[in-house]
Amino acid sequence: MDLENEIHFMGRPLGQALLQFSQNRDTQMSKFSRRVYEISRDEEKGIDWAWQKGITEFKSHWPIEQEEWSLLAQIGEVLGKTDRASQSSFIKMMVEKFNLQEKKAEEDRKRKEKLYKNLGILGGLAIVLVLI
Amino acid sequence: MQSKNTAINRIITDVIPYLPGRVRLAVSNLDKSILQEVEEIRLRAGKPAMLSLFRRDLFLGETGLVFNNENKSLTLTIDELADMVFKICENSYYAYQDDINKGFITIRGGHRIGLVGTPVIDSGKIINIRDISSLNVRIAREIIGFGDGIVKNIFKNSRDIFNTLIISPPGMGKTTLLRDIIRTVSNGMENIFDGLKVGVVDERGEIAACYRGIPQNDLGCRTDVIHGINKKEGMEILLRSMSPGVISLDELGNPDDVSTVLQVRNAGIRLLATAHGYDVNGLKERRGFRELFYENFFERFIVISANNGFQYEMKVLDGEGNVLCVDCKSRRQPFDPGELNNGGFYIFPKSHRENRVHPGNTIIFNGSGK
Repeated sequence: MDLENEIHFMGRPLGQALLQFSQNRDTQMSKFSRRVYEISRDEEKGIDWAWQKGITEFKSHWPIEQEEWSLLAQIGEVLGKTDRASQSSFIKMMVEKFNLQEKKAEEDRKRKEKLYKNLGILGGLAIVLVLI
Repeated sequence: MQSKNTAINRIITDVIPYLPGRVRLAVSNLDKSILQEVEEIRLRAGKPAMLSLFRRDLFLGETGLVFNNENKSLTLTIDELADMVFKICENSYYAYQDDINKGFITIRGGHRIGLVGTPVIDSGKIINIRDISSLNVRIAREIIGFGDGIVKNIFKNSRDIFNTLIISPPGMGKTTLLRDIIRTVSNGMENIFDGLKVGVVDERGEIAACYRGIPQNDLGCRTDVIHGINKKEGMEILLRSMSPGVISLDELGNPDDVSTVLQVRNAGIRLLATAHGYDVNGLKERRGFRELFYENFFERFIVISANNGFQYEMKVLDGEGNVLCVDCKSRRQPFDPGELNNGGFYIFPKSHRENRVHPGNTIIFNGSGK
């Protein structure tokens, strides 16, 4: 069950929702959820604080752009602070934003791939020209 | 099991972690004999923090000293109250929104935190309370054996009980008595009562004090609890799903519940409930009870009242109003404050306070009624 369902359908408090979410899968995001839960439990601070600390810890492990880190940080600021319906629509909106970012990254990759391919061809041509 | 906890331990483990930092520090430093007597912790934005003890209010100072005037007491801000509420909600307003809208949140241990502020209304319904300005932390107490002196009077035979209504004004131990009777009915009494399956509708979470689904109070081995649901729906679910011998609930009196209560009777199930009131006659014409009295629904009444000499008087009456039994219990005594030079005071002299309250003590009445 994803985080939105844990919150909207099960109505679990954030700590439990994050723990439950992390137990159901083995992904980077579940590892992050687990860590946020642990920080908030061990340091007896709020989830928003633990979320930001989690981001700091994971920054060196995840190869994502600053824009995506900002989106993730935004989630931590809003989670738990509104009613269930608002939480649900907020999570959906953030998922949309991440999907857009993913598309952008994919296009970027393709563009760069093409660029490198062209560079490769041009480089090859240059070597051939030099050899001739 | 919760019954082994002292009142002090329950405050320390269940309540103190939620308090704003300054209040937490002050309450942690309170003299244990005061802490044991605390019935309510009242926190108001811009006003002094206050402790309500039996028949007396004290103002709480920064260092844990208490005063009988507000000059040296600590004053809270509205932000501190907001942070406290967020913490009580486990950083998740959405999970406690219904409770906030109703005006109280029950925390682990069954302690109830009442809150008021500015309600946000949408289509005539409260959807939130913002600018929370006052919090009332009401300390729950579980007293094993509170009803031992009278419980036998509600047994019809060794396998059945009478429909029973506990009547008392607020703060007299109605829920404490109900909880104790539920436990006895559920567990049974050796050679006297076999024990019955009890279904509890715990609308406000005060009877069982469920925390993450597990009752924090001991309600006996044959008890099933449905909590956080209104009484009508709760009774219907229990009827359908758990085949109880007894259904028990707190604060009966909503006219909407009457038809379901009668349905419970028609299913051959007994009812054990409480109601706010001073005596049986006062309830007879009240909406929500009129029909039940007309049907002679209740066969036993337990009326709790305060008499002189700081005692609870628990009177058991039959359906016709004949007194079957009277039991008196000492209630917490008003303290004799020992004034200190610095303006604070303790309720006992220092020599008397040392080790007076041992954390391992359990609050147990011996059931003798003395």
